[in-house]
This record gives sequence, structure tokens and C-alpha cells, in this order.
Amino acid sequence: MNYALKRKILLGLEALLFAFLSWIFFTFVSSVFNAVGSAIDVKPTMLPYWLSVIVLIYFLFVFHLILFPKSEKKLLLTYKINGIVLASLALIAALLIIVWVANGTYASMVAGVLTPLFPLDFLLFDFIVAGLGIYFAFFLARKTPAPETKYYPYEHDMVRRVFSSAFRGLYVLFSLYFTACFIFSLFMAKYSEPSGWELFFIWFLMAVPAAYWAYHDWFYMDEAHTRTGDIKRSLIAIIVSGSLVLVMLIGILAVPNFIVENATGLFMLDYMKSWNAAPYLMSLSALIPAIVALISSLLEKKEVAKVEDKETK
Amino acid sequence: MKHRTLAVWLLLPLLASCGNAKDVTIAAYFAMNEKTPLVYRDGFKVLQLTDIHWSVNTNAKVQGEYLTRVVKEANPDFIMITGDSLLGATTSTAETLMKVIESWQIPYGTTFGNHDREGEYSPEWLTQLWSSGKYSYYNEVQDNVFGRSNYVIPLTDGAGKPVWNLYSIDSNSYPESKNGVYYDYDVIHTDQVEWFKATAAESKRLAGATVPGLAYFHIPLFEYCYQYVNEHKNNTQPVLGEILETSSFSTAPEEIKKLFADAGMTTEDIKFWPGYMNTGFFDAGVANGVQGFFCGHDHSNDWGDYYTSTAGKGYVSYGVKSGTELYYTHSDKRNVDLIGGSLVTLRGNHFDLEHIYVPTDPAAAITRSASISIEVNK
Repeated sequence: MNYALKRKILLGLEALLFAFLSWIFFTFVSSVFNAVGSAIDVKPTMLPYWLSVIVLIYFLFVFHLILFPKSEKKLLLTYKINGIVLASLALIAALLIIVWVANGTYASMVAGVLTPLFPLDFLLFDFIVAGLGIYFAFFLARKTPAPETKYYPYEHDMVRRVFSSAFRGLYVLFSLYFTACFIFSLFMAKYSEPSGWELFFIWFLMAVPAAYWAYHDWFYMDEAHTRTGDIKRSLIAIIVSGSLVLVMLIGILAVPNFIVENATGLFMLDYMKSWNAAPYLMSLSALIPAIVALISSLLEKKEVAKVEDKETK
Repeated sequence: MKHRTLAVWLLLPLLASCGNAKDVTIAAYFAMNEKTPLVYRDGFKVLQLTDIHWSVNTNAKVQGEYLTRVVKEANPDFIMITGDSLLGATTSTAETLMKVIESWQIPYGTTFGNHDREGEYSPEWLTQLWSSGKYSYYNEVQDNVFGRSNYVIPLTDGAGKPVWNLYSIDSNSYPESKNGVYYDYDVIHTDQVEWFKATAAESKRLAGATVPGLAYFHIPLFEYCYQYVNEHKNNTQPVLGEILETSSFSTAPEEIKKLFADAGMTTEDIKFWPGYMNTGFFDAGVANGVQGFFCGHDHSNDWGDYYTSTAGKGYVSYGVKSGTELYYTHSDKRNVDLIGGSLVTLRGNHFDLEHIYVPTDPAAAITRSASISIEVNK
């Protein structure tokens, strides 16, 4: 199999993993907030499950790092260190599940409630991730990467690297949640009733973060891009996202209660706490990356102009 | 307003293409249509379970066995579950709870609570699940009446004539956010009140006289606050239970804040979470035979008392929270955990009410409150 095809398959797998984990993360958020809100029940009933989800999300991050390595050295380090950590965490999570079943915290290997096969399904996920971690750490880390492997070295200083890594990490979590909302909304909409199509107003907005990632991973990273091009791209993204925010606002104006009527299941945190944060968070998550990219490109353009100006003088 | 009009015009083609108003006959709301009619007898027992709150974190075995103990202790003829059966649940969670309820082999009805809509399913899916149970009397009619679980369960004389009515009414979840920052709780909408009047009138027509009834819903009515304030002003005690919520409803509707302030109380004293306005359901209820109003929502309150409005007298009551999920409290005064159920025993033209407090430890003793005879017509 040639490198380009293999890479496309891996990118496809990453997208599938992202969609699958969006559902997993959505349920995880519900579980964590339920436990936090349950003042009396402080027993760590769901600890093995939470750890299993953290392992799965961590795997997504590692998979991304493998697909977009900074250098050969970093790639081998990623395989080795992250492989060992992944395998260790996954095995701990698996062990905890077995212990929780043994001590009766989970009634059986298929106690159900969360999913019909819980916790067996998460035990299997743990074993799969543990196997992959071992494969990364003890097989791939010892092999020289294929010569055609493309690397994506850092372009910025340390401060910006740290900031963007933290921001991206957080943004992945928001994206996972809103992607799940998008997928669920397709099933939840009451198409047969007059209010059913109101979710249409926020469908696209919910999908924007995932669309950003898809564009970033599938096109942007492998393209030759110029600063002028980046500014144009950012502006287009702002206009498109801004328009979607506007459409949602029109939706709220036209049918003020449409989110309550059709999306309580999607934004359960809002309703558990009687907040109304989801529309704002969705708007921000659609606009912020594009605005940050625009500011960054403009600043860089200015810096380059300054340097060129100095050199000319 | 101009923006709103413009938006409506822009959306008109889209909205016009979807759905039409549905007209249904009033008889469709009576749950006896498809199920075996429930026959009334003196001593017919209705157990109220509320705020079960099954979530993805629930230990189904422990909680299921707990609920079963409550049901066995009460030994009811009918179970009414007044909302928030679920919280952030998956379809698997809801199906697991349904299996437990069905395992009791006792007829039951369910009302929607605000949290029941917050799960990984559509409300339609949950409706179908509630409707599918062999013992379920859930009866959601496809109509234009606001909310979902609006139906009547008549207890008949065996010949089809209603003797008592159990009304299930959706108190809904949240209205649109008024200030854009937080949500209030919703209310029984005015069209639901009209729907209720129509069903009560149909019952009256069938029975030849006003049929006594009990109303089950999730979010408390303003009358709960009115009576609590009356108790404070007159220095009287409730008929049953206590108000033990520890936090207070700081964003309570202005009318409630004023009510408390006028009685020399503060916002801190508002331990009730009613909807955002009074839509007149209590008045419509007492005027049409409803004797008892039973809600859930505020887990730490198991209080109940008579309230008399210009329309008549009724008994307003919280149910005892069922199960330990999310949160519950302990009454130091009575030395009981406020979990279990509330049991109504129908007696001719009045009813008895007792609260059953079932501890989580299966070996510990169950506490039953005194059985109080509730007589609103006295």
C-alpha cells in the first residue's frame, strides 16, 4: 500500500474515531455532572468508566500526534512514551472494571444501564487501547519511520506553542460534545411536527468545530499556504460562522423557545443547572478559532513587514 | 417586533410545510380506551413515586431492589410516577428502569418531569417507551395541547362510569429564557388547564355528577407557597411532612418573592421551586372535583397541607422522593431519610394519605407516617 493511500485511510479512521468518541464523551459529561450533582453519593461507582473514557480520548490525541508528527525524533518518542502511558492507563481501567464487577459495584459484566453491554464494552475498549499502546511502544517505537513520512515542525515560539496546545486540547473536547449534539439532533428532530425543523437553525453551528478539524487535518495541514491565503481563509470562516450565528439568532427571534422545545436532550448541562449557555458556547466555538487565526495571521504579516522594512533600511 | 415579523415571514415557507393541527375527541384522553378499565373499590391504593432520577451512573440492581421494597411495602393497586424518572439517561438506562417497573406487574402511569427530556433520546422515543409497557396506562394523545403526559385514568364502577379520576398532567420543563442567562421552570399551560376542564366535564357527563379526582404532576403550583406562607402567618403546622430544602430559590418569580416579603420572610425562606406563573390549575382543579394535588421536583420537601382559594379547598402535597439518586435529605425531627413513596387510599368521597419512608438498608425498619384522612369537603 502506498504512503498516500495509507495516510488517507488513517485520516479516515481518525474521523470515524472522532465521531464515535463524540458520543462517548457526551455520555461521559452527563455521568460526571450527575456524580458531581449527587452530593450524597460520593462513591466512585463510575471511576473505571471515567478512566476508560479518558483513555479513549487520550488515544485520539495520540493518534493525531502520530498522524502529524513534528519530527522523526518526536514521532518515535510519541510511540514510546504515549504508548506506555496509554497501555498502562488502559490496563488500570480494565483492572478497575474487573475489580468493580468482582466486588459487586457493577452487578455483572453486562450490568447495563449506561449501555446494554456495560461494562463489558468498555473493558474491551480498554484491552484494544492497551494492545495498541503496547504495539506503539514496543514495536513501532523501535522501527525507523517510513522515509516518505511527512513531518510538521513547530513554526512558533514556546509561549505560543504552549498556548495553542492547551487551546486545541480544550477545543477538541468542545468539538466532541457539539459533534455529538449534531449527530443526536438528526435523530431527535420531530420532523413530523411543526416545531421539528427548528433544530435546523443550530444544526450547522453544532457541526462547525468538527468541520474546522476536518478541514485542518484533511486539507490545510498538507497544503502549501501563504499568509495572505491564511487571512482570506480566516475571513471566509468568520463570515460563514458569523452567518450561521446570525441564522441561529433569527431562529431564536422567530421561535424563542425552539431550543427548549427541541434540544433539552442535547444541552442537558444547561437544563440541569437552569443555565442558558449552549447558544453562546456554540457561537463562540464557531467564531473563536477563525478570529484567533485571523489575528495570528495579521500579527505575523505585520512582523514580517517590520523585518523586511528593517532589512531594506 | 419588526425583526420578529421579518423572521417569521422568512421562515413561513419552512414552517408551513410541516405538520398540521390535530383535532381529537375528549374521550381519547381517557386511558381506559385501550387498557383494561381500573375498577374502583373502597380502599383502592395509589402509590406516588417521584424523582427516581435514573441516570447512566445508577446501580440498577441496588436502586431497582430499593424501589421494589417501596412498592412491596405499599402494596398499591396503581402506581403514579410524577416525573424526573430519568436524568441525563441513555436509551439503555430508560429501558432498564422500565423493566424494573414492569417487573412489579402493577398498573402504573407516568408524568413527564423537567429532567425526563434531558437524555440521549427524543421525547417521542421516551413517550413510546412509556406507552409500550404491558402494565403502563401512559396515554399520550397526539393533539395540540401543550406538553406530553396529559391524560386521565378513570377508576370506574365496573360499568364504565367513572368514580374517581387520576389526572396526569405535564407541568413541562422550561419556558424560553427571559433574560437569556438562566431558565425558569415551566408551568401547566393555560390550554392544559382548559383541556383539564374539558376532561372533568366529560367525566361529569358520564357519571352524572362531579367526579372526585387526584392530580399528579411534577413542578409545584404557586398554591404550595401560598399555604406555606399562610402557615407562617397563622403559626400553624402542616398536615404532613416538612420543608427541608437547604438552598433557596433566589430567582423565584416576583409574585412569590413579594408573597414571602409581605409575610416578613426573605428570599432565603423560599424553599420551593414552582413554575414562573400561576396559570389557575389549582382553582380549575378544586372547582372540578380534584381533592389532592401531588407533585415532586423538590426532593427534600415532603410537606402537605390544605389550601383554600376562592374556587374551593384542596390538599397540596409533595410526594416522598423515591430512591437515593441525585440527592435526598434526612429529617432530624422524625429521624427518617426522606425517601420512599406516598400512599393514597381512596375512601368513598375522600382519601387517606400516608408517607412511607424506606431506608436504603434492607434490614432497617420502614417508617410509615400516620394515615391522615384528607377531607376537603368537610
